[in-house]
Amino acid sequence: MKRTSLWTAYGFLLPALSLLLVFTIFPIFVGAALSFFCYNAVTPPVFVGLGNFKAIFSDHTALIALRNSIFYLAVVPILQLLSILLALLLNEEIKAFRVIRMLFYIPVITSIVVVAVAWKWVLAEDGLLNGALVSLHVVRSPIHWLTDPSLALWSVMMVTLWKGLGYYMVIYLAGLQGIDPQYEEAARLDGAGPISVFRYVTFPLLKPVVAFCTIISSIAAIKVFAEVYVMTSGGPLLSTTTAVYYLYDLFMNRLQLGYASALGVVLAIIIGALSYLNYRFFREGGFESYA
Amino acid sequence: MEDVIARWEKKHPGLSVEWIDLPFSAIQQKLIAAIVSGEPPSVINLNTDMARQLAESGILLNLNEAVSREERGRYYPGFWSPHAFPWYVTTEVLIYNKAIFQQAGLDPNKPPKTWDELVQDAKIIKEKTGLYGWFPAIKFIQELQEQGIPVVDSTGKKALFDQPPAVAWLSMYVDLFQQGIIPRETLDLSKTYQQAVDLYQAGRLGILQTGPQFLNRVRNEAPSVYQETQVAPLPLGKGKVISAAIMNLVIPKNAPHQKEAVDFALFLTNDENQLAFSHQVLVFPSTIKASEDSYFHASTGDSVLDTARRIGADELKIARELTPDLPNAKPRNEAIQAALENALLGRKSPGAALHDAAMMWDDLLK
Amino acid sequence: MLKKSFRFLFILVIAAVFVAPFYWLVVTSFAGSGDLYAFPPKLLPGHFTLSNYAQVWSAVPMARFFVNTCIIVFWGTLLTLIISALAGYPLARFDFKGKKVIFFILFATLLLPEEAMMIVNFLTCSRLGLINTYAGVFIPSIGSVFGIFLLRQAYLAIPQELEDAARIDGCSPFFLWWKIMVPLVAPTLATLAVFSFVAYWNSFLWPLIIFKDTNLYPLSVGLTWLSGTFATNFRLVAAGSVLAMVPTLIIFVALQRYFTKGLTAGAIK
Repeated sequence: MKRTSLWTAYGFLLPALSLLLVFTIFPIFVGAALSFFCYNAVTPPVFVGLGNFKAIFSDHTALIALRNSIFYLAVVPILQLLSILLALLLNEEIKAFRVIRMLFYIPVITSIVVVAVAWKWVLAEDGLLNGALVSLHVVRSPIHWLTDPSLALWSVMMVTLWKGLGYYMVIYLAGLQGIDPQYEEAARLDGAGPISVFRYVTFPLLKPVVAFCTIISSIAAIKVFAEVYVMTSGGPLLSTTTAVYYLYDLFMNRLQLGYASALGVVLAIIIGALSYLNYRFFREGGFESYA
Repeated sequence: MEDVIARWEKKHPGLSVEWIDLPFSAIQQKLIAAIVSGEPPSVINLNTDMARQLAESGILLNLNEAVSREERGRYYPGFWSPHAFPWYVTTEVLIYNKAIFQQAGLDPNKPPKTWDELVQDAKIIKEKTGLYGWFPAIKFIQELQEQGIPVVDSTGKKALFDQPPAVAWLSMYVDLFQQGIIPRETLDLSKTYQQAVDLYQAGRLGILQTGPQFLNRVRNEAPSVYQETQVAPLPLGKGKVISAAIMNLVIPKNAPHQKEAVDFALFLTNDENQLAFSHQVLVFPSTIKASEDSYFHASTGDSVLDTARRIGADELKIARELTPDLPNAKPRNEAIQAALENALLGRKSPGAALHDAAMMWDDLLK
Repeated sequence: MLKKSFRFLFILVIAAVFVAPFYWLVVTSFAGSGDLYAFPPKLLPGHFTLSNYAQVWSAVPMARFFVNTCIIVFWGTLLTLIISALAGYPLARFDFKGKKVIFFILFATLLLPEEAMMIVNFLTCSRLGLINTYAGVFIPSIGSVFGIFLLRQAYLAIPQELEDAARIDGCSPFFLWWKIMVPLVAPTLATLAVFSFVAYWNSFLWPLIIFKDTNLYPLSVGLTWLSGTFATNFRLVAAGSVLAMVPTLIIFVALQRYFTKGLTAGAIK
């Protein structure tokens, strides 16, 4: 590595840095500042100190939105578990498996809008899922997947899960392929059954990958927006209103930019806390609870 | 409209008015974007819900300051709000099918004058003719107020519609629904009005609550039913008010040419222009003088339309926007819908259903 | 032997159920009217027709949505590649004052949610006159830290000797970069291109905020509009959805390895 002139180095970095400055760094500070004001983009901002943050705690909708977003984290362990299972199942170089792996990955590269639109109709009262369930006599009358307040959030979560499976499956596949088969062989020779092999040999070696996937999966879960926007518009009765969905509504429909920024700050703090917790959890080997 | 614009432009040389029509679904996004980017339209025509939403975000001009008391006085006080000029108004009347009344043994010249009578007539018609006598599009909160039943307390933070009188009103609907007197389609509150209209035009509905302008449609699309149609005032409940649907004009704070915008809005909604508009479309002016014009009591040869015009104009005196001006309209409305659905389908008792909705309202109104 | 074929069957069933929504989407897009609400829904369309596609392409601004998306994707991807290739180089090869700080800042931004920044970015774009423009959609995201780090990894993987051997004495760093280094990291650039393509093609929230004119909508936003406007005609919406899906599908099938490569490069560090 040679010592280069400052000009050269920063010359290369200039476009990237200036863009990041304007569109990433600047918004962090201004956004945080904006959260202490009341602003509707038309009249000058009004300073309200911690008023917005206090308001969040007495705003029924905000509390529900935050609760829903945190609840959405339930999708993470399910998603990771299923992805690992899928990776284990499909971890062979058969041509057929390559095709099947590809099938699972298709939702990943498909726009969330296409996915949500398709699922919205699948989950409709007269849609594919109810049709199948009723004709197979699993249920007697159609289920209100998206219109029953106690079911809607689970339905949306299921869509997120469906879309993400292939993504994590591929990562876990790569992870599995990076594990030296010697370890598993040794365990098998010692008489360990497949479940024990997984629990005591494979999974611990996979831990870094699981850590990585869990973090990005958790962050994605908290930030869910498009599924809700397309499928339920936050309803019924606020049951699918997530934090980002509410933020969008506050910002684009109600023009409460200061309040929305405060919500954004709260969200960022939650995400930061989540990332830290994930980091600690996996560092201290708390994987027992997973297997 | 072009005529109105031309006349106003003459009075204000150097300024021209551009009139843009947008489909309803597109309005919200475009409008907000235009306002935020600093290039808003000067005057915007919106329904009351949207006008209130904009007002809530603090971007509308306060008209109590921009418009003198004298100028404000020409509007019905029940229609004026600090952030919106009321433009044209529609209320509801009862239209009914004479032939169906006769078939059921009811006197076609004695339409129901009270809600109890209406319920009675609905039962008789269904019983005697097998056709539906009534197909309500339930506007629960507005109807409660028409019955003199309070919806929220004076602080606006506590819901009161789970009290016995309101429960009784809902129970009335539940009984009718479960006895099959009113159609099951009443349940789908987003489609009810359209379906009721279709049923009436097919000659298979006895009574329809509707804005008077609908009569023109019946006249064109179902002339045979129109022959049998009569108009009656909406029965007056104990609250002695009727729900009105108001179209508003609002002005954003950052509108260019603010003074002229106010002037244009005042011009568009003055007695003369509103009266002219009422001649074109069967809607009603929001100003007192215009609504008292003899046009609304004239005989044009079509007695049905004449009656409708007269009744509609008379109703203006007791009409008001009955949608409560409270925050979080969308989830609150959803809560009411859910309560209606639960009660009508028998999933919960009317009292329990309303109580649940009231609790949600209390949370949302905090 | 039995165990193996049982396992295989099990996998097939799962895969079939998994793909069912897409299958139904495609079948519906080719369906004539009347088939849709058959209870239970049919496996194959009763009437096979292309009319939905014809209608969605001509009567609905689907073609416009396509063009808009292509414009955004083209410029977004191209500029992301250029900026990432430029920025990754000094971070891999040079030693200069402030390098550690830059690194730290770049890394920190990865942790932050864009959703919290979008309000301010909206205001910024508003002041810069970028609302309702294509540029407003891609400019905020072409400074991609993911891309920068990806290219940095690629540069690091090139042996210093190779670079030294190819250099001509007295040439400027820029010349070296453009003529030598960039071609050497071409595979990574391809990977980044593929990822950017899909990301821009499918982006939704930001275009939703930026665009106000329906005829500027890219496919994702346009599809939402389609789904709302034609809520009762799912065959039409299905056709639109399939059309929106096809390009990314083609790219994916043709360039699979770039996807896996890029994904795992990040995960297995």
